[in-house]
Amino acid sequence: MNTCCLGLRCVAVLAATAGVATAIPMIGANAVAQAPAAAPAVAGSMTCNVDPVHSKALFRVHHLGAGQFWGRFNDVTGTFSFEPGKAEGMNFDVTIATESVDSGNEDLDKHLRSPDFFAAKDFPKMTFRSTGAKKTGERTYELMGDLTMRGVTKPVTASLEFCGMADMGRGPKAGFEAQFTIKRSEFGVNYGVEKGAIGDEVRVIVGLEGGPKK
Amino acid sequence: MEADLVLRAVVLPAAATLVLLLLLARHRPAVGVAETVSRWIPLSAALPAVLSYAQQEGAAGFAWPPSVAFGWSWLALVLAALSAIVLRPVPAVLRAAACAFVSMSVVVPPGHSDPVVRVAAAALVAASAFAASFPPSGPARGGVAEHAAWWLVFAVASVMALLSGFAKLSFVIASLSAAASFLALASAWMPRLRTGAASNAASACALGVLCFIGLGYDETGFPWWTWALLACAPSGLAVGAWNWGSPRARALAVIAVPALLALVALVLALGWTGALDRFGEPSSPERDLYGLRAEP
Repeated sequence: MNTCCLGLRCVAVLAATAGVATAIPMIGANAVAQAPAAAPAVAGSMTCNVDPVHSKALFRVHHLGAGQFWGRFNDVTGTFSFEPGKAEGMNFDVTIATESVDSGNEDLDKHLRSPDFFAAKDFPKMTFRSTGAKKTGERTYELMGDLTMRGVTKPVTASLEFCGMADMGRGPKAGFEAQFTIKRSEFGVNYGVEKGAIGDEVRVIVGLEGGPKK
Repeated sequence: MEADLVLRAVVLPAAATLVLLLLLARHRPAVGVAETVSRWIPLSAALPAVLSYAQQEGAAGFAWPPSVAFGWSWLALVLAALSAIVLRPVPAVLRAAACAFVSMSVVVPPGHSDPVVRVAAAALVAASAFAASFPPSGPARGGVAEHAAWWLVFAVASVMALLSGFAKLSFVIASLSAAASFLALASAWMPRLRTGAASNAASACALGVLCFIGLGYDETGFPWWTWALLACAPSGLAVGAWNWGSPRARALAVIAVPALLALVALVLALGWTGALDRFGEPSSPERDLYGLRAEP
């Protein structure tokens, strides 16, 4: 009898738990459906921590005079500050762990981490620190900054797009996407450059998402 | 791309070294001086590597101070060769120790800056260099055979560097291997190009330096002791001092023992990391086991 009651209670608890678990994604789905198209009004500037899970840096380079090869860095951290619609006060300080380079091929990743490319053991981080910004459109900016890779610091100018800002129940989130092109040989990454087997120009696309710094 | 790189970073540096040593070997010692081997042969342990490094890195690779440990490799090898040349008259054990500690002192691979580790590595290289230069002189010294041994040992080391994920280091070591093979052929006609105790010490130190760098940048996870075993492979040259009965048997032993030691190090490294298992897998056009196509 007691065993039977316990069994029924367990079933009831499990059913309730399952119901809640099923409901959570549905709540999320509703939230997505009702998500505001435009950024909510935020007074003053906002300083965010980069969310490393939802931020990535991709790079693209011409390979063997034929295709475009894509790779990415999975570990992107840092902070950014901005005031919606304004270039003034915009500030980005982003760090990328070179060890996190990911080409989708293990052997290739080993080679990319070696001193032939990123020298990840000597230079575990590459950084971008903004020095200024200029508004170029409703949601676009020109972001100037210093990129440091393999111990070499060079100024770069990125085209920056404000992707949006929303609060879907997990606190306010803001997102940006930056694009810029560098000559890797200027940073001491010259493997394969001479004969054009691997292009010198590398396009970098960084997608950032972050929430308010606590 | 690979063929072009092999030509520029391996074959040409080795050929240039051979030409230079041929020119230097033409200079005969003064009458009465018992010098049968060119004193400049230790340059073969540095010059090909420096030229290969320069080919790959360009002028930027010589920026001072070097920003990566690999950037110090050319200097370490030059110091090893010069030490061997300058210290030619001193006892072999002192020369080996000086070469090893001078060359190893300038290289600090990432993750191996502990002084104890560095001193231990230098001591190991010194022991290998001394064994490789034993006996210091006499009929036991193998000419062509020792060059051939260096050719094979450096070739194995080059493969290990490539499999560890560091192509530039692999090409630098391959240039030393190519130079040794050229010298092996040339020394058959020109005895003054034979190896000597000093050149063996310099080559052993060069191998030690490059293995230490390879260990520091190893992305495959080869155990440290496989790199150490590889660095010790030149000690196998000591078997040339034994009485093998015939010059042919001695030559075979001088070639085989160091080469086998190097090969054992490579096989153990591959076995330890499970890389050997992958050789049994069916091949596909997409596979690139040696990382030769491993560029983005």
